[in-house]
Amino acid sequence: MNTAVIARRLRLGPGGATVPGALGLIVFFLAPVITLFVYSFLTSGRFSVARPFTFSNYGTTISASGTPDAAANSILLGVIAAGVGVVIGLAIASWLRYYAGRLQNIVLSMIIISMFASYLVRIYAFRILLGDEGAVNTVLDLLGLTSQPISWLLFSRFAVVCALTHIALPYIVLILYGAFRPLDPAYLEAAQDLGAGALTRWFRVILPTMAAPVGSAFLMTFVLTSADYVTPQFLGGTGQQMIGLLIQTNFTVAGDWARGAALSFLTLGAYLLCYVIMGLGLRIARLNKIRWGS
Amino acid sequence: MTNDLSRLLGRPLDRRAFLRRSTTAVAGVSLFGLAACGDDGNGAAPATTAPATTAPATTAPATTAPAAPSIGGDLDFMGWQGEDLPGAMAAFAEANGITVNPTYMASSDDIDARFSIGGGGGLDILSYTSGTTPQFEANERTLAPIDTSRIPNFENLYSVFTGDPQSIGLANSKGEWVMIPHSFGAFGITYDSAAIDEPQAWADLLTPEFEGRITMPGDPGGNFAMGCRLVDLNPFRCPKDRMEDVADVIRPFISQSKTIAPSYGDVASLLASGEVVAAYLGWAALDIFAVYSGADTIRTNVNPEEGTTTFIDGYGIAQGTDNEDTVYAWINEVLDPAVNGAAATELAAGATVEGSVEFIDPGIAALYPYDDLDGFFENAPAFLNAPAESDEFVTAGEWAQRFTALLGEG
Repeated sequence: MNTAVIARRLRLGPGGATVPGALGLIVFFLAPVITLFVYSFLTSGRFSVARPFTFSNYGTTISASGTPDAAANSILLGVIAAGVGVVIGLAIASWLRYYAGRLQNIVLSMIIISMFASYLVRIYAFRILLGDEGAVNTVLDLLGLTSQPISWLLFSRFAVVCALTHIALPYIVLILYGAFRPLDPAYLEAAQDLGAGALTRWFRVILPTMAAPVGSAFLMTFVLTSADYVTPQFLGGTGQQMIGLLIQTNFTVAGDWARGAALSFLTLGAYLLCYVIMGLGLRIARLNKIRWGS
Repeated sequence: MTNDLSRLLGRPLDRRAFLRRSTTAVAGVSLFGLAACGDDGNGAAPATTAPATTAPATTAPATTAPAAPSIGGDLDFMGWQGEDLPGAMAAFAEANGITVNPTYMASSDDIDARFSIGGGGGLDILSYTSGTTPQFEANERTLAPIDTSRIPNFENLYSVFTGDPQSIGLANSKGEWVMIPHSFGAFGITYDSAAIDEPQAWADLLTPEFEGRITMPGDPGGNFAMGCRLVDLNPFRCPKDRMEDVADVIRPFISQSKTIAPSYGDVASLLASGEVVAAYLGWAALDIFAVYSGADTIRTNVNPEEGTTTFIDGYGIAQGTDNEDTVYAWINEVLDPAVNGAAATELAAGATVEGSVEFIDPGIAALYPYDDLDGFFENAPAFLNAPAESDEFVTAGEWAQRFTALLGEG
């Protein structure tokens, strides 16, 4: 018996089916987030918070040495990873929708299965691939293309972007594939019949209609990757701290919960700002209400 | 029953009613959270005083006549990986029906974090680095005083550990023993002997030859201790205005590093894979870790010219343990010379009890001069971490923030 049936029998009304999920959300998400928000205005001890209330956590967090660099690095890596991921994701999703034929389900399954692999295993796989004695350098050497290993492949922003893009790609593909689904090939054929070439079809037919889902995929990937704190530790070089690591350090090493909470909410605020800007951009460009299908 | 529930709910739940009730629920939960976190009286509020310098007691006062020991069952362990001694203590555990349930930590701070949020319940034994003891003392719910009279093998400990236990984190500020040392080690230069000759000094790692070929662990506490040692400061009593001196010492090693390893295990992994040839702030156990990764050429020089510092690892008893007799029996067993020697071999560490040397693998026994441990500890003093709270000295939290920023500078 599903929740809708239970809700009907209990006469809970149309919204009743959402009660279990909503309760879960309130108890396990909303309440901790609100508690954390309160923490950000309390005075921190070591691994504790207490009154009095203060606004200083936000000020000290912003002005702390390391925060601006970490924020800039997070934005840079997040934008690159999201940009690269969306471009690759668009190509894969488009191929799946229009050209994959019977391979469609197999490839989709493979994409989903790739998400089953442990996050850390995938990170270590990149070490094996990109290391001085890794697969890439070995192949390049065997082909005579390099005389010594390319050292910037690993422990660099390049390695971090590769891994973050790889980790986010299945999510991007699934979002974009879902967006392509209602896009009947007949529309593209009509555009072709009217003389539109391949590039014209992409830029004047497909991309405008995909603007909102592409924006969503970009933003989701940006949030996921720019907040990551594990990948940069394992694959990044020195001087490449990200904001997630500062938050983690505050909570688990420095024991400064108030400052960690303040930094978390500053980051959340920045993400919400990105969301608003993207929504406004789509609205101004009148790309937010285009719908395919009947 | 349906009607009863409907009556209970008042009326069918529409969207507006649902939102109203949800808001009430959120407000209620939040107020509860606020009340809990705002407790500045007891709870998790940290102590504001640093440990005093009272003379240590050798035994905690007995309260009641001890019951007959009941050994066996689950032993819930939290500590450094490997220090549950699955090899050296296997026979003891099997003979006594003990099942060790380990939780491994990335740093000693994990214990602090766990107990501070009230998650320490259920743990029996802790294995950590003694330098953290003063920080743990800020939370009275973490460590239980240890009654050394219940540990017959306690008398086997080298005198270097029993002379002034408070100064090396084995006793708390009240002078009560809170940790029994099972091993020790010195920070050193870990290197790949197949790739380079043994570096003799920390400064060797700063030469152009090693640019982009070394690594170091991102361990704030270890880096602070070593940094303080190099500028002749006590990390537990480092004046706030000297923190930058410590940062200045560490900065060149960060610049010279190819990457900062997130854990000591990862340092071994990087050495074993050939990504780096040496590590600042290594230790001898990494030689063994590297063997697990397929490299048997990793060595550690634990006697660099500028000196080094020593960490002592040991067992503490978790407040509220429900298997105290087993914890005491476990600690006593580890202080048996044969077991302690085996533990030293297993951990690639120094042994803490007399008579254990003959049971240590010769290569590992050669790491430390057991015939002159007092002299060794003078040159490589054991350290206490930065205090949890202080207006005068650099605190652990302040250093953690500074160190993280330092890593960001590259």
